[in-house]
Amino acid sequence: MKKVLFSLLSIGLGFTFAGHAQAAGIPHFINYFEITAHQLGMESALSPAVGALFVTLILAILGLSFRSYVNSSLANPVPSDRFGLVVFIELIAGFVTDLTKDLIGTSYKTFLPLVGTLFFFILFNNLLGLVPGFPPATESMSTNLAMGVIVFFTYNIFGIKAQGIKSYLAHFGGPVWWLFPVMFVIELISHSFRPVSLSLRLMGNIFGDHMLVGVFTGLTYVVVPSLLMFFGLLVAFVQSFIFTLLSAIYISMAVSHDH
Amino acid sequence: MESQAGLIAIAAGLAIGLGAFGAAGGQGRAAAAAFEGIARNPSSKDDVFTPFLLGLAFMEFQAILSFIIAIMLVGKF
Repeated sequence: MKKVLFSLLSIGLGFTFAGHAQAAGIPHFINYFEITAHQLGMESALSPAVGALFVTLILAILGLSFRSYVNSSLANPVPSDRFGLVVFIELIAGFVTDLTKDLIGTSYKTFLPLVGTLFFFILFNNLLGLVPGFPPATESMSTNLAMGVIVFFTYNIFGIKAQGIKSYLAHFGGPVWWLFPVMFVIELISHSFRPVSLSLRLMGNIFGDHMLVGVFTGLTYVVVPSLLMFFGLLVAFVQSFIFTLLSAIYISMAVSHDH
Repeated sequence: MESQAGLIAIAAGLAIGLGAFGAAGGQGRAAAAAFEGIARNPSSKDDVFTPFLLGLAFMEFQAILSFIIAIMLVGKF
């Protein structure tokens, strides 16, 4: 336990120093105003698109190597006894599979690729944000809104496909027929706010955490930012979990038949 | 514009302060209830955990909104 804590602390300290080494000419690595300017789209060193590209590359390499590992271990399916990359991927994939199966039910295999990809993409982007100098793509509203809109179209299209357009629209109408005009407007607003709220939640959390680390790096230089980075690790996992969970819940609400 | 700068600063501080106040209160109540439930019935841990986290996310969203508004206000300087 002590060893783990110590190594975590030293990793955080290493990241902090790396951030300072990179920003040799600039007095504060990511200071408050730089992030604000970056958020308003004025200027930035590395755009979030670079982060997204990097994560996509990492995910492609990881996926291909995991695939070749699975193919090679078909003859001798004994799990590895030490905690490596393969075990890590198996852990996350199993977790996402269980989550999707619990929430969506029998037709979970249709949606598992989407939900699993979202989880991996968001998680790796969030973790990339903890490395100084890399802008996480989830910090930008464009990436998050794109993912939110994909989820929105997915659950609407599959909901209509599963229930038929008449029965699907009847969900919007409320319990009794004379409430239809009121309920329809309310439900329409609530549904169209869903992708916005999904993406705003992720953006606010990651951007806020990034800014917190930046401000404390500017103030104290050592020790304190590494503790906040540990907190950021927690936020990275929880936020990717929340995004995936909410997407799965929206999909399951749209495709379920019990009404 | 000179006289508005102080007002904007006060507004930004109030926005994030009040947002954090409400969200922290709500999250504290939710956490207290969840932990009490788990303490009374430890086997319900797995069932309580996911809805608990979901509720926290919804409460945190209000704080996140006020944070975004505070950032937008500060960007007006």
